Amino acid sequence: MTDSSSLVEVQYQQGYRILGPVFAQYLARLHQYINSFEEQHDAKILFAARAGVRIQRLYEAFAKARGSATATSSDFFWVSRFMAVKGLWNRIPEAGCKLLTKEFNAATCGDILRALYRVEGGLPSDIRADDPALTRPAAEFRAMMLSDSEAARVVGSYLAQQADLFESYFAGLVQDRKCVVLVDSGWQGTTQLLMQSAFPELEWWGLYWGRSFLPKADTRSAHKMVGLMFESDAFIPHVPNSAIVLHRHLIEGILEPNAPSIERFAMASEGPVAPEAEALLQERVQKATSPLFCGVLDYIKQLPDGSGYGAIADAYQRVAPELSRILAFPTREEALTFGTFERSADFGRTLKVPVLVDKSEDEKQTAEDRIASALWTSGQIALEYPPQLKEARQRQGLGLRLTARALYDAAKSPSQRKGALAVPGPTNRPAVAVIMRTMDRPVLLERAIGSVARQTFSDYVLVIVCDGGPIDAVTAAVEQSPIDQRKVIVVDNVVNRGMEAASNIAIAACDSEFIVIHDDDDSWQPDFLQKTVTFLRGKAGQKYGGVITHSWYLSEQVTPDGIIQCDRRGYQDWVENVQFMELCCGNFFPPIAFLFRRAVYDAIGKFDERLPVLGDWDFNLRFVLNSDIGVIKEKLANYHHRDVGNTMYPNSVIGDLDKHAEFSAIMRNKYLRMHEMSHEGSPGKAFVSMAHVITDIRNTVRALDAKVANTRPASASDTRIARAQAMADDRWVALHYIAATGPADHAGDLGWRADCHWVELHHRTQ
Amino acid sequence: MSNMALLVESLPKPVRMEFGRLEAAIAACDSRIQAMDGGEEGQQFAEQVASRLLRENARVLSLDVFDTVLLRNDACEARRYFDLSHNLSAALKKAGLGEIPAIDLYLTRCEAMEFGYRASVRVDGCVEGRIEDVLANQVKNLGLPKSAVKIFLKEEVAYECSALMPNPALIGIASRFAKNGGKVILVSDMYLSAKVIAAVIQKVAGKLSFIERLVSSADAIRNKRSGTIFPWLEKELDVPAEQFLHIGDSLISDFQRPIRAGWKAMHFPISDAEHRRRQQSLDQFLDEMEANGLNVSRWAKL
Repeated sequence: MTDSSSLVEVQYQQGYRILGPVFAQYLARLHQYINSFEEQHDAKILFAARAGVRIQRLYEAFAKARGSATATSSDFFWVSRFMAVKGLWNRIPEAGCKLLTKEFNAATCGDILRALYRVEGGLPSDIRADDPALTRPAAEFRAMMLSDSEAARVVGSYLAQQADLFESYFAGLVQDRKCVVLVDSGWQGTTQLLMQSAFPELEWWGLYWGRSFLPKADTRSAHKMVGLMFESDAFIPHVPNSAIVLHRHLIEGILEPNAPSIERFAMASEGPVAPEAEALLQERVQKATSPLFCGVLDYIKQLPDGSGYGAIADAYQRVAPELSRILAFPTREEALTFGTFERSADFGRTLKVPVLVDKSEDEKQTAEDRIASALWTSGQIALEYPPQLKEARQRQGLGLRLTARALYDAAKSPSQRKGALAVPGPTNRPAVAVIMRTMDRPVLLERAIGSVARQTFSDYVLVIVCDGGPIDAVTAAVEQSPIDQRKVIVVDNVVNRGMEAASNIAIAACDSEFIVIHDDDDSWQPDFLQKTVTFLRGKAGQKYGGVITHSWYLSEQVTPDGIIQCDRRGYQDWVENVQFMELCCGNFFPPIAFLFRRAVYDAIGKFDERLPVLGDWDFNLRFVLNSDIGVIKEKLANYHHRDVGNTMYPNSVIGDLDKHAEFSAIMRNKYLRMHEMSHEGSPGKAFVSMAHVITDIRNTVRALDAKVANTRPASASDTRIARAQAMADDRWVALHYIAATGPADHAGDLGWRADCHWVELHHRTQ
Repeated sequence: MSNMALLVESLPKPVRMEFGRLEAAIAACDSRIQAMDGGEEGQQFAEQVASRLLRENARVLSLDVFDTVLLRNDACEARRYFDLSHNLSAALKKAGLGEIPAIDLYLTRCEAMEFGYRASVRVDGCVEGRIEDVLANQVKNLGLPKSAVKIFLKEEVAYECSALMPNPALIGIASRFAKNGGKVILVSDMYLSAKVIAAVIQKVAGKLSFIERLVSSADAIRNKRSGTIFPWLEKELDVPAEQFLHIGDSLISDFQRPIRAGWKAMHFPISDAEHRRRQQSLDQFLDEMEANGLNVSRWAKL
């Protein structure tokens, strides 16, 4: 398909066959939205240049083919993003400067000025070519315009004059309407945002072919930007039209007239006019230069598949999966068909950019260079790679595991996809048993139940075990809480039996696939259960017996007026995996962050009821000796601590510090004895004893670090902290190495490194 | 036996309590229409509502309408819209307004609903679709004269009435509460205006003169789902939050939201069997449409 006339013919045919029904569906929705905005909001409909000119042309053809009326209150809106910057200068100069510096980021103020004046025939003579303002970087454009340079004065006057003309034109266009609807191709509603910033008294809506935001885009008005064919920032296989995000230039290219952009206003006898508008209106669309558009237009004129909404939707649904596949996995021929055209640069630039890069443009470029610079990555890959390799490279480029064939399947109806998407339905056995231990803390209990009620995952049973406190307060808390009452079991222990016994009783009171301990003072983010259950049920989670998430550490105080949160920070953010060795050093994740399989609980035995504190640590150690624990590095659990002010409702880790120290020793000894008896000669005992040494040294280093941080001069650089932390990390690695290879051989080394570290820290405190 | 074991043995046994038994029983019944009309669950439900009103010292009994005071049949929403579209198609033809395929009526209805819920006027961040707007948009999109809205509205009410049954157990307890001096209000998150809902109630359940107020989110532009309607109602009725008891079928809108607003609330769930039948109705509807070459899963709802 090298002959250009045959390419044009193929483009026309494909425009008719594939893009025609897609555009018909777009126009059907556009028609309904325009009608509704007119009917319900008495809105002014503005087809925004330049794409709006061709959209309006298609829309008229569509209405004619269906025998329906077009919008009664519509007009063309002679604007572009560049014109909006000029035209809104008197109202929102900062926003205009921001957009200009973004578009010209690597250029100079001179480049911006030349672009502003290009349509006027170049820089005016009263701006001297050697004006130093011109050489300032584009990032300083706002500052330059605020300076007293001659260039700033001349340009400011020009922009003010353009803004006067534009505002006058716009006032005449909108008149007394209160709602304005822009019709444009897409994707981020930049012009809409600028207009609504400048005219906040009007209600602004946008009707776009699609809506797709780039990272860091302003999405505050997203709900008022209607993507008629899709609203997605990425390609979603089961939403065929979202494939447009892979090659949005296809739609833009089809809708881009062969006429100049709107970049200025002038005063004519009838009032302010955009001189370039006439060329846009007079554009003669020809098959030779716009074959895809002509194919679409001819389809719309005929609507050969029927003109009713049902027939249009039907025709569209038949081609949508094919278009999706073409955009994601085009063949070489399809790449040429849907990618052989140019896009023109805006913002006063005359540049034309081809969608696909021609090898002959630059012989030095590699295939990968061209793929990186092409406007349509999958299309360029199809040109660069042989057929047997191109799909794999396209998949890689898309970051998909999906094959081209799977795209057809993904677009099938839900009933056809039932097998692939089936999720287990609710059974009598809930997925999760949420075990909540409580004793006489109704304020905290109420919050904890609320945390469970807010979960987006609802297949759970909540077992609240009242460990000896007043039961009426517990039942009242349940009845008054917004939790589905059918999901709640309360176990009244009558007398206090201890935390671990309470857990075991509650776990025995129900059945489930998973278990999580939700203490009455902790809470979750709403998607904790959703994400943890999905993880353990998913392929990646099969090798794990449980999963933890990262947590927030919340400092709070209980007052007569309620709970006051004093601080929130990450808790043990460094955790990336759960190693037995590390767990021997200390319990580094709270129960609230740990969802585990009941099967493992059954295998390793209950929580040790003899331990008044640290029962969870003991359980976790036994757990890891049986199964691995996965980590979701998202803070989905909230670990609350009443560590500020009074000591009402203390945590066991805060209120029982002495007990923690005592039982920490008891626990380590228990594991040493366990390994002494059952695994003679195993490295287990070395791990446990070494862990104690590591913890001790680590705490010493941290204490010294804290001391250094507190004694250093206020002006000291934070890099010193970073260095101290790096050294602590270094020490950590060394200690791990020592632990892994046996303590005896490296005892001297350990001591030497500890001394060095001490000397270093000591030196820094001087 | 060790001392520890002896000690544990001597402790009183833990007591297990279950909650939401009545809700569970309602969810387990085959049909709430039957259960509420002389069934055991209906009697228990009425007793529990009465006891709760007394215990909470409630001044206002607030009831959801659809699937609570009026009980729906087992057709899914998509099926209802499509059946209504068939009726409309025939009515329009009879009125000399041409032959419009039911599928076109259905699709324009879905689009107009979507527009209504996205682009209607917002109040306190809450947006509500209104049937009058939906029908006006639909009529315009189909190129019909504005007068056709009346036909659409008439068919809408007629169809709703044919698919609803009254809830005698709840209506009975509400009537007694009103006789004893309590206020009964109806609060619906619905695109139908209060006027239209009142007409539907009258046709399905007769004149319920004890109802002091009927509020539809379509008129108030505040709703239960967002929670914005509760403080507004407190002000309107000049009754503090804790003196309201609300009952409805939606766990979120009729139970969780009012409780978070400080109201008392009871959940009146749709039964599992009804839910299954509605799901079957939706699956069947999607399959039928698919067999006719159209995938309507984007619009079709349960």
